[in-house]
Amino acid sequence: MERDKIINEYKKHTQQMHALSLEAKERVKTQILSEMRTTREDLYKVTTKQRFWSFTLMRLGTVTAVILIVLTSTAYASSDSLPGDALYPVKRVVENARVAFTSTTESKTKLEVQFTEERLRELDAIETRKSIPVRAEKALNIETTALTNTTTKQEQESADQNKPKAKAEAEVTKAIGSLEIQVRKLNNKGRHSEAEELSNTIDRFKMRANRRQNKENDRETQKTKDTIQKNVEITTPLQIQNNRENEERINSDGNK
Amino acid sequence: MEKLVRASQTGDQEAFALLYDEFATKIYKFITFKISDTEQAEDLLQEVFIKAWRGCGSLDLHNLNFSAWLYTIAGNTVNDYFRKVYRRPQTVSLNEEIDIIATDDTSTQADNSINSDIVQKALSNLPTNYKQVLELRFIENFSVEETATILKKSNVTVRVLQYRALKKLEGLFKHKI
Repeated sequence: MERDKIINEYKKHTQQMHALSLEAKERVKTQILSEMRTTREDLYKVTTKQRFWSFTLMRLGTVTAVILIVLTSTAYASSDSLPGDALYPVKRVVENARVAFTSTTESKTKLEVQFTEERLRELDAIETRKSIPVRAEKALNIETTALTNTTTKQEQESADQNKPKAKAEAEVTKAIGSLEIQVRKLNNKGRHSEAEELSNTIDRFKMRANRRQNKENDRETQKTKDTIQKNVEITTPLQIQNNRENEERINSDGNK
Repeated sequence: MEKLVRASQTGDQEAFALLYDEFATKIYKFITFKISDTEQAEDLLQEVFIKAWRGCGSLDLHNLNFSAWLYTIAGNTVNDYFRKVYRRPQTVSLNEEIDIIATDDTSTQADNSINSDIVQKALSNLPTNYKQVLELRFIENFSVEETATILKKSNVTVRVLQYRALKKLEGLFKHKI
């Protein structure tokens, strides 16, 4: 039998089956419409609440995203900072976090070596920063007391310049100290070859730091020599002048 | 149809009432395949349309078959009812077949005319699954996939049910046609 014929017969016979009476249809419709009015009001309240929370969550999400962007940018911007710079503490926090979240000892050691290199690099960078010029020409034009003031000012400026340098030097010492602790730990664990390798690395760092210190000392010595020389050059004519004046005074007093 | 649905989404109760007028009889028929009690069926019909009213606001009308969506709600509502009453959804095994009454046995028929009342009775005794598939596939003209979604069955199951339902009908109508 053709399928279409079967379906048609089926439709014919079932048309009135399971029929919904008009009366029942209208009754249900009335109930639905009454329910709809109540439902819409409730839905409005729910929707408003949902809207409030979704708006709040959206705002929180936006704020969180902004904070994350700021933190990431700050961390990135801090990567070139030097001791004494405003962002330097951020740089150190990021480095410490990296070490803290590293799982293996090898990775930790690698990072600490990397950061020790960075400490030395920072120290070099501070050295090459533009230093405050010695106001030699002023010292020539003023009296001894003014010269003394200028010298004091130079010393003050030098001291100010030395603060970041002192900090950087302290960081280098600390970093090398940290590596030395790692060497002891490796030896305790029986990993002697790794300890030796790390020890060699520490020695290289120390040599580099010493070379830098020696250069620094030479520079300071030369600066001191230059300063003394200038003082002599200025003071000597003044002294001669003073001595002559004193002699003349003595002579004039003597003649009285 | 789409205009009525869109209007309903914006809260137009009159538009939704028109949708109700369009679909109420069909949904009711679908419900009564499983629910024989008319009062209960009417309650469930009400429940279906309330759910539809609440849910239509968030409907994505792109590629939506509103009718299939409504039937899905109806199927779920009936299952929820059985879950509450019997603590399990009423399912009918694929192999369950209710014997068509003895008068289907053509060997007992003296002539080729079959009393339509008997046919009606036989049809009402068809397994629920058969009735659902016949209704959705050939009265509502849903695809196999849509029917499967509404009935929460696989496409294969729907095809098998359809085949068996048509076979039953063929046996029933053989002498009529």
